[in-house]
Amino acid sequence: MTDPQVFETIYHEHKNFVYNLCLHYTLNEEDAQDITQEVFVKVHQHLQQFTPEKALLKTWIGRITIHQCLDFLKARKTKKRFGFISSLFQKQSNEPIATALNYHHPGVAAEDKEGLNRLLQIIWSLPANQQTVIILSKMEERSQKEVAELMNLSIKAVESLLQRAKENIRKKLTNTEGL
Amino acid sequence: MNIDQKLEQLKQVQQVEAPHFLLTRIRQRIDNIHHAEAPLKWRWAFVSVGVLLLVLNLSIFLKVNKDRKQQPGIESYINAMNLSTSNDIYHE
Repeated sequence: MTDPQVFETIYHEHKNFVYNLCLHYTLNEEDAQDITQEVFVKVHQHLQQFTPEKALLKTWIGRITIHQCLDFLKARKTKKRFGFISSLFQKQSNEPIATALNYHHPGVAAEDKEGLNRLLQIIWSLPANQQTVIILSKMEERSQKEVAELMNLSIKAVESLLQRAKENIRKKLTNTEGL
Repeated sequence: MNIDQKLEQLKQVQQVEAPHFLLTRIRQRIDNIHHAEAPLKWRWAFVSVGVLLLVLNLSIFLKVNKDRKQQPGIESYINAMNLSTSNDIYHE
């Protein structure tokens, strides 16, 4: 059983890190709030299993957050894929399917939204590990060592993932600009 | 195209404060999980009732099988009563 005071201290120390990471993945306040809640419920449930010798608490919480966000995005993509079939049987669906086009990231100023929109859309379409590496190194501005620890990879693997992600972004940007 | 320069745009995304109500919601969810869990006493009670029922069923099944084995077969009845086992009713 986790001591409530210990849990609250952990929450206050990591809430902004978790919430912002969730926002970068979901680009949506409501979803980010839901995932942040799930992350801290998991932290509360599994805090006994945390071993400080293996990783820092922040790294451990970061990994839980990344997994939770990727699971959420995967579930949303599946829902979107089957959305067409379910729409044949349901006349009206009240649940909106969020896309990068209708995102609402509170950290993005209205005047920057236009320019960032396309870039965020491209990052969204990347494979999960490339998306994670871009979010952590470019949006969260973490060092390669920190990214490697958070993703449980070697620094070399992170470097190669980053290169591949950049190459993919470059190709997609050229394609859209060429049109 | 300089992709690094393009990705620099992502630094315009500012860090945001987590809403204050989140902790209350998290506490509520944790409490709900604890309430949903059955107490240890009840869990043991369910397990012991389950084991008891299983043992009872098993013992009845074994007893019925044993009685069935001890019963004389139909052959011994036929022999004792001198009944014919032939289907030939005209004794040709």
